[in-house]
Amino acid sequence: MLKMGPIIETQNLSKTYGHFGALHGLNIAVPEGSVFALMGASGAGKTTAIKILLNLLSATKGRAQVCGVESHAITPEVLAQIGYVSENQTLPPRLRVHDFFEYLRPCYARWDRTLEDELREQLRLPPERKIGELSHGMRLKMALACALPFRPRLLVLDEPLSGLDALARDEIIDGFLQQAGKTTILVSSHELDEVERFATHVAFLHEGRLLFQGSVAALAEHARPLLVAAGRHGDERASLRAIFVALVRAARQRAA
Amino acid sequence: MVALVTAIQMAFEWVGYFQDTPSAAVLLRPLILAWYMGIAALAAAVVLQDPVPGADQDWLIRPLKRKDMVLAKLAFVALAVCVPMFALNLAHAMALGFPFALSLGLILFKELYVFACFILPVMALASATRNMTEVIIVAALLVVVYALSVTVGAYFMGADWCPTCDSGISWLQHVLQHAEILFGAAVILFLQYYRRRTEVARALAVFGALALVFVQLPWNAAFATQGWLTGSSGAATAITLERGPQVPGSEVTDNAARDKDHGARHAATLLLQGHPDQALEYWRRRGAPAEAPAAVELPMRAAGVSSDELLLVDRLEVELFADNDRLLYRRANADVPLMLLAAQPGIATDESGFTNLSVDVPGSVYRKLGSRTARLQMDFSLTLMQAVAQYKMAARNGLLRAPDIGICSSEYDQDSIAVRCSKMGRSLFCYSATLFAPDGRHNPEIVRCIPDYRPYLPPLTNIVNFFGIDLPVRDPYGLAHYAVDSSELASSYILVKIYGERDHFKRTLAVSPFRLSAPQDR
Repeated sequence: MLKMGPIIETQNLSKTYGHFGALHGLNIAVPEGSVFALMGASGAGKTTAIKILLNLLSATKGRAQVCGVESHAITPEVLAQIGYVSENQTLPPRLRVHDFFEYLRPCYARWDRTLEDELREQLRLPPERKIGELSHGMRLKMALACALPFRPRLLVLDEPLSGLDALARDEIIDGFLQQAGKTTILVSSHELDEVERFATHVAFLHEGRLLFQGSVAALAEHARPLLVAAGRHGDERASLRAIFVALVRAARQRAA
Repeated sequence: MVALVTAIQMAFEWVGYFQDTPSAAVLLRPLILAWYMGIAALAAAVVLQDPVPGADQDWLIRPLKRKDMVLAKLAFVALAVCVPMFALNLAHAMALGFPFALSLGLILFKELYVFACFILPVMALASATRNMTEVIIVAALLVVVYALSVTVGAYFMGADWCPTCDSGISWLQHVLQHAEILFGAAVILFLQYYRRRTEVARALAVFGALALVFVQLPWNAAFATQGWLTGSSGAATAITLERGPQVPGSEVTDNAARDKDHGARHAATLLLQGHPDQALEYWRRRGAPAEAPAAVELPMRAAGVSSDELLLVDRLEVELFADNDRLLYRRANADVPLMLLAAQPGIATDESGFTNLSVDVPGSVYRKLGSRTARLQMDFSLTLMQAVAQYKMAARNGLLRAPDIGICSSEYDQDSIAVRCSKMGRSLFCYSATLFAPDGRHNPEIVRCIPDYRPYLPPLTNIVNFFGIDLPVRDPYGLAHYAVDSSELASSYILVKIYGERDHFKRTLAVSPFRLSAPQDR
């Protein structure tokens, strides 16, 4: 169930690294309560956009608001409402799993110890293992388990399925699906087929530029002429992958 | 790591307790290095638990107050390093027999000083790096920047690159540098933890290394500040400098050849000891042997100095003018005898109390001037010292305790009596000792004076200053004979005098036109 107003809104957001433009005037609005999939090929600018939203990077131009606050002025109070999971997230490697949970608990006023125990059991996290000794998949599960017990208003997931085996993907996606509706989820991924299972809204990024944003229903409407032009006439339920490919081809043709 | 650093500190203090023994002195060098490296590594490691540069660290997306985080890290290092150091230093001071109240205050001040001037800068540096490898690289880079700046400064400005270096007021420059370091560290920590501006922080660190070299206190301002701090007593009003009756003579000395004897090793040593101007001067002379300087011998004396006073030369600025008043040569801090007063011990004088002051003039200036007349102006910055206290102690196995000298002992060792003292707080830089027989006969007074007018700035590593004098009582070659010799030590005593500053002042001595060389010398 969608609530009123966007929880994330960007205006003309741009980021350059030297001469390389990673983002070009991004305008997106993430409705509160949605599962918003930020999609695109590797290097499209998804991670850059997310890092700007969380004030991990500063924008070169434009502005972004998260939970009603400018992202560059994000406060600990706002961060206490945001859960974040990233494939590159560096958790303290010397801490044991249970020590890290102990370290996090006092940081969040709304930490739910029961939910924490459920998540740890569900994701089968070994309490005595050092985080540095965990596999990539286990570390992602660990990050997810740390992002949920305080019942975040916004859950930001940056390529959460990257490099995971099928079993781990299913476990993680099950975790997302349980949260869908309870919280707003912003998920970036290039795994189009997997994201299709739970996204309510999508935004396609290509080479730092926004190709489309809107609900999944609006996307189908928007993509129909492109699919027809691509010879997919009569494909009532085209996949995100097919739509994305059609959008990118159309963008390339326009650029040419 | 905390345990290792504490162990290093314990070993350091333990060996420091026996500091005046030869084996301890050998052990202390590596221990000092380990002390610095251990504390720096621990401080850096605490910061690097949550590196600031980068965008993937978990702590960045947690609702942590940056102020709490910085304060927690500072508090941890203070507890892990400064508190054990405080306890060890206090135990060390107690073991040496210093009073508890005095030790407590001085040691507390020293720990604050270590924290502000060493630990905090290390933490600031670490906050601008991702890992320990980067810390080492950035620190090495800063050292290179600093060393190159010093060399460049010394190359172009000679001794003027650091007007206060090697003088009693160099502590003012050190205070300025420490203030720069502290301010820079605070700004870097703020930039990193509140703005995460790593590039700006690193640029600031490099700029700071350059500022340490090029922001120098002008001599006149520093000397005036020292005078104000000491509080001018006006005691030096009557003191004048007088030139001897004879005309200054000159002699061309082949210093290049003399320097060759010392070799490049000597120059390298000078560089490592922080005298880049002297090291560069050596290389200049080595490259141009024809530049051998001429030494101008100038008889002079100070009048108006009483027998319990010493006159120290803090700086001498020499200016040589041609007969048309054109400045030919200017040099500051030429090698001059430390003390000018004719009557004071250790200074060779003639019967009128005049002593020869030797001023080097470069070979090129000497040749340019030829047989024309020259005028010399010498601006002296001087300090009048006066004996402020004196103590007697037994010549053999004597023990002396006094607040302004610390703890002293005397021990006879074949040819001389070793007087060894240890003191907490402000170090003594001017003192003397004389061996007296009960009937009043005495050996020459031995004076030690290395100007250092600092109020109290503790060394980072030591809490106790060690100093001493050897009083010879027998010449193993039989050439010298002493009024009081080793057979009388049982009944003899040592008179220890402490000198304190009374006044800092300036005097100018102008030498009217004279010829550096006769025409046939050319």
